Parts: sequence; C-alpha cells; structure tokens
Amino acid sequence: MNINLFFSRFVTKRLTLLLVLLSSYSVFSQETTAEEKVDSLLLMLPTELGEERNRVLINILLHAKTFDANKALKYGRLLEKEIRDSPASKRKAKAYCLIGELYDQSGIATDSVKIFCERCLNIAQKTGSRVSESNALYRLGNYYRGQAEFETALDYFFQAIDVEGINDNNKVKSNCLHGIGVIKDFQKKYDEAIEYFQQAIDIGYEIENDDTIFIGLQSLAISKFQKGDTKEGIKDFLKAKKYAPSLMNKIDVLSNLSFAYTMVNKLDSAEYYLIEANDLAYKYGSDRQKTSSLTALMQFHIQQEDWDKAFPVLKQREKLIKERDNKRWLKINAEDHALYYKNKGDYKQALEYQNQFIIYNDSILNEKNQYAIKDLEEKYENEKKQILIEEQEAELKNKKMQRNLFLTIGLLGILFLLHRIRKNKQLEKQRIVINQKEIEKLKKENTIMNLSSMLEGQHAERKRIAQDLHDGIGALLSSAKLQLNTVKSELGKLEEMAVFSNAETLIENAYNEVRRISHDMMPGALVNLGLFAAVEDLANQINESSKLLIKPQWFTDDDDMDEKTKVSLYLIIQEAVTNTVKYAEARNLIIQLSRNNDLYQLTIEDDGIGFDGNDKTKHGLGLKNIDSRVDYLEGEWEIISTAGEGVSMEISIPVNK
Amino acid sequence: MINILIADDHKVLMDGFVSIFKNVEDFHVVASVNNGQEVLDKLKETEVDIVLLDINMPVLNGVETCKKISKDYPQVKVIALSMYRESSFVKRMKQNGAKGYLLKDDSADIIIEAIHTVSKGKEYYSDQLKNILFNQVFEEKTFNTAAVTKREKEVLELIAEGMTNKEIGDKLFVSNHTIISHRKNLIEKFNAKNTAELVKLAIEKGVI
Repeated sequence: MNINLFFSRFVTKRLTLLLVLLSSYSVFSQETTAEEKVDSLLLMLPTELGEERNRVLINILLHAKTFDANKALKYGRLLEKEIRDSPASKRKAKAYCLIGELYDQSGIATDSVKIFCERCLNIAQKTGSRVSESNALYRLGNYYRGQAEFETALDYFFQAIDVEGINDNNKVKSNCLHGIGVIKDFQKKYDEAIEYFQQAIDIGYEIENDDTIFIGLQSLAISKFQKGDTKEGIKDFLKAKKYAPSLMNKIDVLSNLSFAYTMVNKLDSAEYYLIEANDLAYKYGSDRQKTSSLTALMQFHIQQEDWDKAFPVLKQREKLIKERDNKRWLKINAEDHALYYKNKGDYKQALEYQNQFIIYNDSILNEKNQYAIKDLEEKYENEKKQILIEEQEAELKNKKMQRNLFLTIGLLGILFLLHRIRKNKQLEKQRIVINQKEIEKLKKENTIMNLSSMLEGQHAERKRIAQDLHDGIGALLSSAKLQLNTVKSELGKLEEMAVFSNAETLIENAYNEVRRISHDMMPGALVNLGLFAAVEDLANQINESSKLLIKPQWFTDDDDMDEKTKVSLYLIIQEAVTNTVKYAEARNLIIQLSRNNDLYQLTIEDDGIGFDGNDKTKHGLGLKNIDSRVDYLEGEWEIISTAGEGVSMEISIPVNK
Repeated sequence: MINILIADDHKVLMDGFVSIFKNVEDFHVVASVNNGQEVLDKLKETEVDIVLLDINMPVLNGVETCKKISKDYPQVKVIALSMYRESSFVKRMKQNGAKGYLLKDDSADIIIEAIHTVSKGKEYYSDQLKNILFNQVFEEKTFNTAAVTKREKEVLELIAEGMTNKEIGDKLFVSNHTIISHRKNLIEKFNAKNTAELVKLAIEKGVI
C-alpha cells in the first residue's frame, strides 16, 4: 500500500510536471506524442488506487483545463467512468462539478453541463460540500442563462451566492455576480448590471484575480456604453487592457476599444488600437489570432470605405491564409476579395473571387457535415444526439443573435453619428453662408470708402504711368528716330538702306505701341483738354472703326469740372460705349451731359436691341463698374431697357465746388 | 533768317532739333526752353518768328501757352509738335491759334518744311493728320443733326400739346427744374430761337 501510494504520487508528480511543461509550450494540441505520454503515464496508475486514483485524475483535469478544455474533457470522461459507481462523496461531487465545468468551457453538449451539475449539486448538498454546491449552482445558472431562461438563471446565481459557510470573496461568487450583471444587461437594466459587474470586479481586486477583474471590466464597459456613458465605458476598457490575463484577452479588449472609439467617432484612436492588436497578434499570437486581428483591421477600413488602406491588409491576410491552407479562411478571403474588387469596380476579379468563395463554401459544408457526423458518433454515445445538435445550434443562433444585436446597435450608432456629423457640416455650411452674407454687407458698407481710395489711387497711378510712357519713352524713341535720320543721306549700299529702313520701322512700331498704351491708360486729351475733348476723341475713334455712330452733346461746360468727376465720368462713358459696341447692335448712341443746378445729368442712350430687365448678366461687369463709379461720385443712376427698345442710362452726379 | 524758339521738356529731343536746325541755312534757334512759362518769359525779351511748341509740358502746358501767345504776341506763329494725334488736340490747338501741327515721329525734313511754310503765313499740318482733319469736318456735320433722347421726345410731344413746364413735370414725375433744363437743351439742340420754333423744327425733322 505504501509502495502503491508512493508510486501513485510519483506518477502524479511526473504527470503534473509534464502537463505544466506541455501547457507552457502550448504544444498540447499539436504534439500527439505528448498526449500519448500522458496517456501512458495514466495507464501506469494502479487501478486499485481507488480514491487516490480519482484524486490524481482530478489534478490532471485541473491542469489540462487551463489550456485545452476539449482535451481535458477526454480525461473528464475517463474520470466520469471511474467514479460513476463510487459512493457519494465530496470528491465525487467535485469530480462531477469539474466535468460539468469542462463541458461548459468546451462549449459543446450544454445538456451535459446541466446533467453533471445537477448530479454534483445533489451529492454536494448530501455531503455538505459547500464549495461544490455553490459551484454547481453557478454552473446551472450559467446553463439557464445560455438557454435564455433568465429567471431560473438568476435564481441559481442568487442561490450560489447565498450558500453558507464559504468565503464571501471567492471566484464563484464574483462569477455569479457577473452572470447576474450579464442578464441585467441583456434585459437593458444597465444601472443594475453596472452595479453587479462592479461588485464582481471588487471581489476580483480582493482575491487578486486578473481574470475576474478583466471580464468584469469588459462587461462593465459594454454596459456603460449601452447606457450611453461612452466616456466611462472607454475608461473601463482601458483599465481592462491592463488586466488582460491572456494574449487573446488583450487582443479582445483592444478590438473592443477600437469599436468603442469608432462609436464615438474617434477614428484615429479606433485605428490605433486595431493596429496595436494586430501588432500584438503578429508578435506573439497564433496564425488564427493574426488572421482574426487582420480581419478586424480590414473590416474597420472597409467600414470607413477606405479601400486603399483595406487592400494591403487584405493581401497580408491572404498570404497568411494561403500558408495555412485553411478552407474556412480561404473562403473568407475569397469573400472579402470579391467585396473589395466589387467596390473597386473590377468586376472581373470580383467574379473570380466569388467563384472561389462558392467552391470553398461547398467544400466546407461537405466537410462540416462529415465532421459533424463523426463527432456525434464519437462524443455522444448516449441518447439525445439529435436534441443535443439542435440545442447546440439553438445556442449558436442565440449567440449569433446576441452578436447581431450588438452589431446592429453598433451600426445604428454609427449611422446616427454619421447623420450627426453630416448635420453638423450642414449647419457649418449655413454658418459660413451667413458669415459670407455679413461680410458682403460689411463690404458693401465699406465699398464706397474703399473704392474711393482705390479709384483715386488708380487714377493717380494711371495718370503717372501714362505720362511716363508718353513723355519719357515716347520722347526717347522720337529722338532715336531723329538721330537715325541724320545718317540717312550718308547711306550708300542697298543693304545698308534695308537695315536702316528696318530699324526705322521697329522704332516707329515701338513708338506707336507706347502711345497706344499710354492713351488707353489715361487719354492725354482728358488730362490736357478735359472731358468733352476726350469723349469726342473716343467717339471719333468708334465712329471710324465701327457701324455705331456716337453723338456726344454738351449742354454745359467742363472747364471747372474737378479731376475726380472728369476721370470718373470719362470711365463711365467708356464703359457704356464698350457695352454698346459689344452687345447692343445699335446704330446710334447719344451721350449727353447737361447741368441742372448742382447736378450733372449724363444721359447715355442707344437704339439697339436692348435687354430684358431681368437679364443683365452679359452686361454684368460693365454695369458693375459703372455702378461703383457712380457710387464713388456719390451720384445716382438708373438703367432702363426693354428688349428691342434700346438701353437708356440716366446718371446724376453732384457738382463738386 | 527765321528765329525759332523750341519748347520741350525733353532735353535729348530738343538737342536733336537744335543740331538738325544748325545745318539749315535760314534757321536760327534763339532759345530752347523746358516749359510754357519759360516760353512766355523768353518772348518778352527776344524776337521770335516761330515757336515749336510741345503740348505736354510741366508748369504751363502747350495748350494754354499757345492761347496766351496768340493773345499777347499775335505776330508769333506757333507750330504744335506733339505725340498726341487725336483730333481733339489738333482742333484745340487750332482754336488757340496754332498755325501748324506736327507729330513727333514726323521726319526732320517735314519739320523743316513746316517751319518754312508757316513762316510764309500759311498753315501746315502733318500728313498723318490729313485723315483726321477730313473726318473731323465730316463729323462736325453729323453732330449737327439733332439727336433726341427718349425723355426729350416725351417732353417735346407734351410741349407740342401746349403743356406748361409744371404740367409736364407732374405727368413725367420729375421736377419743374428738370423740364426747364430739357426745354433749354432742346432749343439749343435744334438751334431754335424759342419754344414755338422748336416745335416747328421738331415736326419738320420728323422727331415728333
């Protein structure tokens, strides 16, 4: 017996060590040989050990479940067989509890959870095993929660909490509080949910269990978010990030953070956390985690319709997927590529990927069916095979529904935010329009003053440049020509004559050009002779060069007209003449200035086609120039025209004394 | 011997003329000055036959200077020498008593010829201006044909109906003054002696 006991302890130690090693290298699932080693060690355990053998099995289970629930289940089933016929004991209760927990964690055969937990509860209550009782109650609560029987679930959770004789601060209790919170959250009783999550987290702090704190904070954050308290929600996600017990959890919380920031429209932060999750997955994660985080990043870009950013991620993921040759991922890859190319307008590529998608999808469905059958045969020897599948699917559907619900809420949130953003932009636009109107108004008010100084400056400048050109360069050119002339008689050869004549023509051209520019800027007649002379020159020039006949008529004199009025009136007339020549198709244009006391009356009238009062567009700039110059002279004016009746302008300008 | 005074504010050009005129037998340049006022000052102390006068000059421009010379020194003959070729200048200088008008891009030969012509008591205009002068005469004619604005035509019609200034003003929603102004302008336009003749001329010319 002693030897047996010693041996069993030795084997247990070896097994434990092996399991720890296996778990730390995460090779359990891949290295079948390692699994075989464990199996062979187990075989070495003497069957006659009885209770002691069960204890070893339980220990193995406890280790195994920490890193692979499905493999642990294998030993669970072994344990179950062994204890089935043993009498009720605390250990039996614990064993059933553990098996129930394993089924719960594996996510399959939920009914088994119920069966084993009920067995456990029964034995625990008989044997007074408080820990197992509360554990079983908690698992049952969890089970009923999964079945959406919330009242029953809550009943079990509260029972679990109320089990006497166990420490207030334990993981099961905090799990129950968390479970209650989840139900309250689902029932949209967010304030209650937040309270329960907080209690669960407090216990987590007390027992220093990162797992509990992390899960609690995540749930808390989601509840706060649903409640609309986005800021606090994000804070809790950030806290949760610190407590993330595993890489997967960390990636999980980073994704949640990203989603949260998307919800509050901080897209930069959202992208940042997705990239952090991605980096993390790339440094330490499995291919699965890498693929998942790349998918999340890509979907983020797709949601933002940032196809250019989505594409490299898509390609990066494709490389990864092709290395692994996983049909499910290949299917998703094809599906996403099809979507990408469809949106890019590359329908040929889109179709190609769509076909790939269909092929993978069919093949997966086939495999899935086969696998499901095999799985069923292997795992559920017992009755209720069909029921189990249905329940499994129902649960999946339920989970999917929950996920869809969350996604829908998220989507609605995003839509709402987009709406808000658009509305804000519209408001901003309106504000800009209003501002522009105000500016226009201010401008209008300032127009006369600004224009006045501008026009005055313009006039002075024009006059100066015109005279510089005229007198300065003009005189130089004249004298150049004169000088050149003095050598004309000394020219002998024909070639010399040709060169001379060319030079003379060039100088003449330059001279005429200077004269023309100078005249256009400020007619010499206006400066030296006055308004009437300048207008008459203008009339002569037009009369010679066009069909239009301009008849200036003066019923006052321009001797005492000040510079400002003189120049402005000339420019007004010039503008009107230009407009008439361009658009009026007129034969005659009357320009008439008379003086009535302190007002100059300028009438400009043509007999052309006129224009509809509403259609001033083509005359626009000319009329605007006239308007600003009349404003500048503090005068008034009106323009009267009907189609076919010509255009008539009446301009009144105060006489400056 | 023809005594010539050159007035131009550009020394280069003036020096050019001086050197050219030196070689002309009967030319004598008595002085070359920079502005109109200096011309008048020189005329007080020097005997001058011909003033070759630029128009665009500081202090006193050629237009005013010419007017004063014609008035104070009728025996002194002025030939305008300018870059301006617009008819208004030619017309004004002529009005102010100039006997000739030359352009600064005319050749030295033409300038010499012009001085000879004018000193003999004739007028001389640059060939480049012939066209302008002809057109101007033609335009003067066309300008004389009265052109009546729409408003003036309305006023004329109401005058012809025998309305008073006030009645017309009330009807056209303008002041009494405005109608008086229109009536005055119309009489001037038709070169009529009074309102009765104005109406008669307007009907004759088919304006109303």
